[in-house]
Amino acid sequence: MISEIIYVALLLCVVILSFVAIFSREVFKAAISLVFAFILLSAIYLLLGAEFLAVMQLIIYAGAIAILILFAIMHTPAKIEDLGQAKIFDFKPHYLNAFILGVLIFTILMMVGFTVISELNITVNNQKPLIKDFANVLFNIKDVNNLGGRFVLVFELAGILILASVVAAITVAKKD
Amino acid sequence: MDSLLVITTFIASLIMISAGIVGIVYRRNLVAILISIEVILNAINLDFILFSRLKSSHIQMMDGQTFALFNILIAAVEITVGLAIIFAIRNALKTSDIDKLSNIKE
Repeated sequence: MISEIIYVALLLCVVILSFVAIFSREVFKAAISLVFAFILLSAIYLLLGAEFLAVMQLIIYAGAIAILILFAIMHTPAKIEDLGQAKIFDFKPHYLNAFILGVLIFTILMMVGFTVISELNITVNNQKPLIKDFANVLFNIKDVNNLGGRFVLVFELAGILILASVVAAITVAKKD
Repeated sequence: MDSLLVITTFIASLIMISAGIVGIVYRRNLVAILISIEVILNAINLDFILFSRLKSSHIQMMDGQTFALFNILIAAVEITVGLAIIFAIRNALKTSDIDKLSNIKE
């Protein structure tokens, strides 16, 4: 019972922090609330039984990506004129477009999602996958009968993707 | 962990996805648009992990979790290349406001 209350409170905090991250006028405040949303989301992953992914979330998202975003904010010009406009809500046509698009997409996703969920029988199992299951799925090509090594090709392609992205990032951001 | 919590988590992730899409259209700052994309990817990750929990066997649960792992990787790649592009725009045009970037299309 107590763990469910903690779970729902964490979920609520993550949603509120994501809203602050998206709709805050100051980009620095948005980045800081994004970091805290990542950290609380890793706690949710722990409660859902995905321990390896919780650690990966902390290392990659809260460690690397958040620092990269903060670094980028410090090096892009600040928008001082935007803070002056924050007192009065001046209506622009793309605000209405954004609102209608959001409501539409939420409705469509709700309809599709609940059609799928109503056909599903929700029986949660309490066993947790271990790190050795990740190793089995990613690397163990000898054990094909036991569904091992299913994601070997995706793993290799991910390596190529990372190499290409590093080359692309250095090439694009280089001053010449 | 019962069915009510599953539906609550699903609705929360849907709210995060639609808020992120609203943010992509609504925000004018390039870094803020990247932040919205990050929120969307996190909500999708939450869905993957939640629905991997409903699988019956140990080895089938790995499907959703491996997809979430690769999703984290894709997010890291995307943020790296996106910030590099923002730096290039900053060097060339001295702005990070997408309303001022409309002369790219000419």
